Amino acid sequence: MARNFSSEEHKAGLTLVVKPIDDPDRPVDAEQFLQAATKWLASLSSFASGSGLHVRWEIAELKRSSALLEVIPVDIRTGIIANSVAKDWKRIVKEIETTGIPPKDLNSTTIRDMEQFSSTANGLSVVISAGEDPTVQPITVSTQKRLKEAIGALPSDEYIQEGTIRGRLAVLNSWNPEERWFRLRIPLAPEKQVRCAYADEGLISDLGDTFEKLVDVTGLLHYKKDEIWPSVIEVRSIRKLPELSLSEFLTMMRPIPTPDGMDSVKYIRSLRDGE
Amino acid sequence: MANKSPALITWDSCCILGLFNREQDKIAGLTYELRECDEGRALLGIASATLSEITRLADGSAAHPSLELFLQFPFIQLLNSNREVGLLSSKLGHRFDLRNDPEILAKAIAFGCPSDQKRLKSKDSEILSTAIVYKAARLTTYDPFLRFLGAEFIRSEFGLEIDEPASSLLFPT
Repeated sequence: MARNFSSEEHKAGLTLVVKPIDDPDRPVDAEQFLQAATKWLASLSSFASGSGLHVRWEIAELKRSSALLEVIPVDIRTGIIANSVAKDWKRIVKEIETTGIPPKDLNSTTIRDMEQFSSTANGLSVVISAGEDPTVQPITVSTQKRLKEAIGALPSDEYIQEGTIRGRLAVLNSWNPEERWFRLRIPLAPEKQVRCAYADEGLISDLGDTFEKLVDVTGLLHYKKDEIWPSVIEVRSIRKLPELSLSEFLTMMRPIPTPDGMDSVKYIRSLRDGE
Repeated sequence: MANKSPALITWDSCCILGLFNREQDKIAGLTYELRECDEGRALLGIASATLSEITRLADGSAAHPSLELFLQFPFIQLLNSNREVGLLSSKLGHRFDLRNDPEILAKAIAFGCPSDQKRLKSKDSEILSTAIVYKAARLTTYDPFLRFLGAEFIRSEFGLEIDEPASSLLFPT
């Protein structure tokens, strides 16, 4: 059953009002409203989470005529209303709009979510108010521009590390000396093909020999944030895999000693507990 | 034609050691998993974090040539410890510090964990996070604390099975 909030509790609320920009009296398009509201809630959630709060946003008011949605943050564990989150969110949007610089402790996901929300305001009048605060925060072209600037100032989403990836050699492009590359298919992600760029002419014959076979590719791996496989590899070397028989290997294996009385589990535990 | 990736199983360091040392209580289960991979029913993921714990063979020589040979089996995929693994490892290391959580700690002891094993150490956390990030179906380990976390939290939250190797019917044909 919907919870009835007292007037005191509404002070912790945050309200979104969406109207058509050209005719505020005309009902707003439902899809546009829901898109704005969804992105707004996403930005509130990542902001609360980035502030160390585990809250859900309960609907306190939803009016059809003016496309108004009021939400109140409620601590998931205790059920107590988180008083300051709504005001803080609005204050930070205002701060970014004024200075173009987000607070240092604001995480990049929150800034991106805020920008995504602001981008839904195109062709709409979008206004935010917090609790009883009489000043409202309109989402304007200036807000959008400043949030884009804030995103532009964030550190790159790509990072590079040295490493080796195993995959099956697919498309090979070796005719243009200025731009030699091949594609590597990853067995664990068959839909993924990693572009592997190389400059060493000596690799061409090796690559021809290994076409459609498994190889280890070593070099600089370019990762995009939140992705587990690299998007690009700057190849330093490739290695063909030898033919191996598992049965032969199992008979050839040489033991790895552990201290007397310790099996592998106790030995590994002793190493890790020593940290 | 849709390509489907085979299931990924990952091994803790104790599995590699148990295999090389032919430990009687482990060899059957571990070779069973290897044969499943060799026959193409699964891939074996080895987290790069496991390799540094294995340094020396019985005759005093370095272990890395043997490890390199092992890693060249085509069914093995070396799993790099990247940014996502590092961040999740940090998060899980913080979350599974049971020193201030006597209720869960008591459950862990009842499960069979040693009473002095009160938190997820960084290597455990990195190997666990690698399995989660690369979406492995199982992490094979004999470590009771990892198995406890698997049964209590990880399986339901991430869909990752953490247990000793199955001796049969892991991947029924």
